[in-house]
Amino acid sequence: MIPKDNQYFDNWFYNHPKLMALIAFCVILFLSILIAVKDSTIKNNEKERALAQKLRRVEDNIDQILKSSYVTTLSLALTIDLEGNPKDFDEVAKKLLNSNPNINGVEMAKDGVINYVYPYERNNEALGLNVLEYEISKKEALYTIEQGKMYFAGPFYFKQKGLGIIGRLPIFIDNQFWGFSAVIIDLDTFLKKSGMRRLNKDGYHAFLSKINPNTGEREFFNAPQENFDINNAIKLRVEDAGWEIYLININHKTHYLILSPFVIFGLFLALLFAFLTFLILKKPAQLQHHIRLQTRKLLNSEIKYRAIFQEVGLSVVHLDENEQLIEVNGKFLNSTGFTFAEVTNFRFSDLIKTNHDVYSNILDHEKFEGHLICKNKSEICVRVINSTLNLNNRKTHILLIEDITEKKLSEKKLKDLRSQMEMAIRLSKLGYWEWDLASDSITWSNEMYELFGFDKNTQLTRNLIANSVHEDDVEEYEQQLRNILSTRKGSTFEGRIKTEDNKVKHMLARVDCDLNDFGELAKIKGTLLDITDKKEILINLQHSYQMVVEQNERFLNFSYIISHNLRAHSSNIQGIIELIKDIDDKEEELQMFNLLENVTKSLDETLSDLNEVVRVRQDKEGIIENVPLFPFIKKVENILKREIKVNRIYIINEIPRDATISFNSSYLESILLNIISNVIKFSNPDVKSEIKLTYQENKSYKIVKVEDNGRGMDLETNNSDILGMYSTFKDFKNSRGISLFVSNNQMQSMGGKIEVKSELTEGSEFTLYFKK
Amino acid sequence: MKICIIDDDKIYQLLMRKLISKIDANITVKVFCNGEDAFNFYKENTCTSEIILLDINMPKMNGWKFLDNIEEKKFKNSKIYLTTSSIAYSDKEKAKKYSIIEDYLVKPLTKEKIRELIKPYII
Repeated sequence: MIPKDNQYFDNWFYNHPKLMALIAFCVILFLSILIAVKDSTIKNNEKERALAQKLRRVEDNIDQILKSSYVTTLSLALTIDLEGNPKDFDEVAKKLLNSNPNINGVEMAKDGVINYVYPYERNNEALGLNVLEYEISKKEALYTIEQGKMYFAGPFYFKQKGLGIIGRLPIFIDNQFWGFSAVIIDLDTFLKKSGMRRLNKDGYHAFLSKINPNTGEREFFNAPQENFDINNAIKLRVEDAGWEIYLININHKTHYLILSPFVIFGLFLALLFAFLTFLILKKPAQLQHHIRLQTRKLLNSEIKYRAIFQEVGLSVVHLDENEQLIEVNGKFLNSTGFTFAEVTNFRFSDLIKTNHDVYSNILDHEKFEGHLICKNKSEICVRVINSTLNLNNRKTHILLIEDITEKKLSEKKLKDLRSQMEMAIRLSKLGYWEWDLASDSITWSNEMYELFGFDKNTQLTRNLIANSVHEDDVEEYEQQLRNILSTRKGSTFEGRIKTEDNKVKHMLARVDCDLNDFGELAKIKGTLLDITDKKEILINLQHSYQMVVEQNERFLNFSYIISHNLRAHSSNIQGIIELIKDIDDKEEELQMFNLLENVTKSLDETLSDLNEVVRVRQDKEGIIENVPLFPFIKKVENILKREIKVNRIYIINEIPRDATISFNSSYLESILLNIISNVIKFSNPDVKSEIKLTYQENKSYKIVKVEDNGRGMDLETNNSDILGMYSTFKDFKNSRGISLFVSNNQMQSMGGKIEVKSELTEGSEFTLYFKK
Repeated sequence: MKICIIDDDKIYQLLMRKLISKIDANITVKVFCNGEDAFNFYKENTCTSEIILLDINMPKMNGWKFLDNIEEKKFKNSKIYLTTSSIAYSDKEKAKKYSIIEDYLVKPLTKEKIRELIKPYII
């Protein structure tokens, strides 16, 4: 799997992608330069050929000029007569000039002295000049004679002005030198006729050069004004004049090889090739690098795998398809107590007991539990995770074996504990609930449903529960909930609930809070205990106690009445009898007996009053019914019709028509009668008397208020206990003081009470509290 | 000598007058029918009666209220006896709290008892 180094070095190319790229670059660049050079050479040759062709045309023209000049001079020479003088020179010269446009003038020089010129006006200044002696023309003239043929001298500046050339033909008569017959050609004409000037227009430049025979220096005529390289020119030699004609291509510019499109294209191509080469060659190197990395990772993984295999807290077993143990880790050997050599003698099925009937099925499962048999025949409870691998078409199994003995034990304990707890909850009728705040979901134990009388499929919501709370306890319940949510602390409180079938139950709620890792409230849970029975017993007990206290109080009250009122009479009787004993006078005795009669009458009244009070007590069990209040008021008004009329009382009845109280109806009539007649008695004759009846309710009482604007009572200075027996007031002579006492007793016996507020001249206010 | 009776019981008043006149005809008896009448009188006058027999249960102003309201210095020459038909223990206990009360007497007052009361004043 690991590539050997030589293998790696064999691919030399792949290992030097940069060098290879450079080589590719050089080769392609070199080839492109080569092509560029070749191309340039071909082009140059073509140019040279074109130049030579042009030069040939110039040569032809010059040859034409020279020939026509020769013919002209020869024609002139033929005009020489026998005396040695030209005959009709002007005539002949004119004809010759007309027929030959290449020449500008002719002359004849006998013995070297110019004596005939045509056209005269232009050339007359040359007359008489001896060319054989004239410094400028001397050498060429002599050379012409020596050569014995026509020779063109110049270009030079003529004596008669103008730059031009002179073609002289030496004339020999009878082998005796006669002189020269010559043509004058202006340089300008020469250039025009030879076609050299025309070439100038086509981008070429032709020019003439000659070694000055006098100075020996080379002179150039019609040379280009710019600098030029004479080496780039091609030349033509005209032997009859000693001229060299040069032709150069003025447009010809130096072609730099580097600018050749071939080179530029080649450069790009080379770069491209170099780059591609680099890329292509680099790929294997990258792959190599990748492989090396993977190899290292693989090695690392293998080390890790080894470490895990040996050091993991689980037993690991490697089986082949025949259940033979290929490899096991130390943990397995430690747990079972076998050595590796021992363990290889077993098949895996010999080492494990499972619920599965057939072993062959076991390894089809990904997970199974069983008992691992140790060397000492003890068993370990295990959970096995089976990974089946296919290697070269052969199944192998890697088994991870976890010792779950302890887990099983604690699971069993937990199960026991749970069943115990469930039993305890069932027996104690304790309801258990949980409220998960995040999901706002509420979970109830079965007992909770029973407590509330809900069906078990009821969808539990906070509203539903809040609605089940007794209306008088809702406020307390909400307050407790707010407290728990804000303090995140549990609480214990009592409250009543109304079950589905409208039964009221007393509950003891214990609430606990579960906080999450961030200290936030995650769950609220608690128990609910039905304490209705206990509560009712307690309430009954309290009722009984209260009743005993009340009765005790009434008993004291009663004994007080007896001690004060009854004893008053008895002591009087005693006093009278005492006196009677000492009286001798018959009249006085009679007086005493009359007195005694009065006393016994009073005693009888008191006794009958007391009897009424006692009767109230006995009637306590009288019929209690729902009594509508309004008709009773009307009834009382009717009974007191006369008193109301006499005292001109105006009754304002603000009692609602539908108001009812549950009360003994005869008591109610008696109480209202007593109170209202009492109020009428206290009415103030000086003002318009009003009695106002109002009704209201509070938590535990239905309240009837009777207010008046009468004379009122001074409760401060009079006996404050106006509801006591025989409490009487100033100017209240017709009251025996028993009615309010009886009314109050009747109210008390029904669980109600009477309150009196009054001030002298300010009117009074009786408040009747009827228990709900 | 003067005896003042503050009591609403007309029969008792009559009996006391008879009894006292039988003991000593020279004793003047002054009667108030309730505490308020007595209080109003002694608001203006200093008490000249040597003995005051004060009932507890009376309309308008009872015996206790009377004792609470009077100026004690006006009674410095008088002995106040609480006389009541009540044999209630609570009244007897309450009477102990009033230093001005000479004694707590339960009705009816016998001839002997009255003699005992007036004894110091009869030469």
